Amino acid sequence: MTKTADFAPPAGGMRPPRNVRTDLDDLSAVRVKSELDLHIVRVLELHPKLKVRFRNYDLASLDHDTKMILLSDINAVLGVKTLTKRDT
Amino acid sequence: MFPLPNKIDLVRVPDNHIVEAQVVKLTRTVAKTKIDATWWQDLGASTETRKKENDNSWHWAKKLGELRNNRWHEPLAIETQDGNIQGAILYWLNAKSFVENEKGAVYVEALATAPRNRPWLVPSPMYRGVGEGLLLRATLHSYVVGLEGRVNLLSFHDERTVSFYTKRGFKIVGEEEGLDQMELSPTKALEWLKDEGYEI
Repeated sequence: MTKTADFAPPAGGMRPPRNVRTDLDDLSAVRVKSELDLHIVRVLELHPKLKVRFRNYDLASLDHDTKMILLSDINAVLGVKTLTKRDT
Repeated sequence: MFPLPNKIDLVRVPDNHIVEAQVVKLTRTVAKTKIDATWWQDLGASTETRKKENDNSWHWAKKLGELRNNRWHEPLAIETQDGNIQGAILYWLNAKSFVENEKGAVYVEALATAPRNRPWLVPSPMYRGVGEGLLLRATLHSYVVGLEGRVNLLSFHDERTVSFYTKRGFKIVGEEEGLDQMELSPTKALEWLKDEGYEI
């Protein structure tokens, strides 16, 4: 954010998306207990190709560190790089 | 990057200083008490002026109530140290790109800054950068869930709104029920994130 940031006019129209994806996996049965769980489940659902590689959706059996490793592996497959913010 | 940053810098307009604010989950209670019940009160703007604002009839709490059991939406707000909500966004992670129909995108259903932060409504706005910060947050979210930073939304067809989004790399790609379909491509998303200091 810089001191030249703009004032934003409202946008969006308060209308839900007309075109939602229909190719998503349904992992609604997976118990989600944290933001990390929700993030992992959402990523797995958004990318059905991950299903073959990451079959263990039982997040309840994983500790936090293991979930972070799982997420790191998922990110590597998807090409999601670590974002770091330099001080501005 | 997980979790996503929960702090955001805003420009406090009266003294032009950068201050830190919190990105918080927008709950129904917060929406009801700190947006719907307060944003349009004591503004000093005439009824006619308020009616010209495209979001003056939005009911955030009602909307969130309707979405209670939906896991794909993300309602967020920016809260300053005084406890006030300075802006809010509602976006979805399961939408399709307007341009590449087989690709996913984050769809912004609603984005608004508090009316007290709009210089065309009040003589002395409080904060600048609220909407930009929320939009950047949606773009970051798109990137970290593997949607490459792709973000789209429906924009009101007025110069101020279109200009705000095109300055951040969005393009008008179509029309839907009288609103402009606008989309941020992965290339433009990465450019914007880099401009904001993110190293990828």
